[in-house]
Amino acid sequence: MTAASTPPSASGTPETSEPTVSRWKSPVVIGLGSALLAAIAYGVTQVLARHLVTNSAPFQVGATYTIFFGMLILFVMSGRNLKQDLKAPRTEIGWMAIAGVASSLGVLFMFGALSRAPVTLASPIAAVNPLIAIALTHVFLQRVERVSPRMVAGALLVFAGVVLVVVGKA
Amino acid sequence: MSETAIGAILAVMAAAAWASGAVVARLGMRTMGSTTATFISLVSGFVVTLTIALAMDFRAVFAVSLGTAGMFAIVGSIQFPIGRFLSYNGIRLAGVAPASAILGSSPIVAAGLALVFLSEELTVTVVIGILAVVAGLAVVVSEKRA
Repeated sequence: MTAASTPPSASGTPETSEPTVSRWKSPVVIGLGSALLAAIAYGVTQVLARHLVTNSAPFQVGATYTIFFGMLILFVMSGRNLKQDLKAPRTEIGWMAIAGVASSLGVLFMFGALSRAPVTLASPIAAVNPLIAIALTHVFLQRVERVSPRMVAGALLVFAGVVLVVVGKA
Repeated sequence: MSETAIGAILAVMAAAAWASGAVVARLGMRTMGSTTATFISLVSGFVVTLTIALAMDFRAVFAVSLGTAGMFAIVGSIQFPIGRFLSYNGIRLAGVAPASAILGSSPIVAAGLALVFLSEELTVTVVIGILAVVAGLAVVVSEKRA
């Protein structure tokens, strides 16, 4: 997908709708729209998964089939680049394989969570994963990251939110 | 321990597993494209989940109806190619901080859909909690970007 070109200025025509239309086509707006659609996609899959693992199949089977079909589609999508990308250093492929095991276990655990707990409980709890990722990056990748009061406040807000969700569902 | 409590613990484990995967993936995507990287990660992940599924209940893996398999195919196609492509596109065009903040709102979407389609209950406490999680993630991610 290519980014929209820079819109022309609306000099001398204040009543024209061109600037408004161009603003909606700006890369940032398209990016924000993409992120919103991705959030909707992830939300939809959690609701569908909850329905399927409570009515149609065990969670581990559901996770396996979901990953299998995702793998097939991505195989088709990466077709042209696959041969070239597989020439990457073995260590990189190894890291991706390990990342895949971790991420797929995440899907397995999430399907397990959705088979036992409502979406309104499991989804907010699982949503804290960026917070854990930042902490792990700081510890294991030796990144020097300043822990600011704002970051601590954000983390406390996330923690308080999870506590509220759990208490509210208890 | 109640089923709901086990579900909550599994959700925490899912968050930890996804976070670990994201950190390790940073090491793996230095030269290869994100589509191939995702494909490789799904191959290894599939082998592991299939092994676990076969070990837990061998027959259940092959007892899935065509309709159910089709539904899982829809979940798989929404979650991996569509969801992941759109999230990468969002990060590329809008930046990590704003895109991640919006991506973090998926629990709100999920809760709304669960309310409508699964008839799940949504108390005021839970709504405040979900909003706090999303707001907190936005604060943390934007700070990391800064």
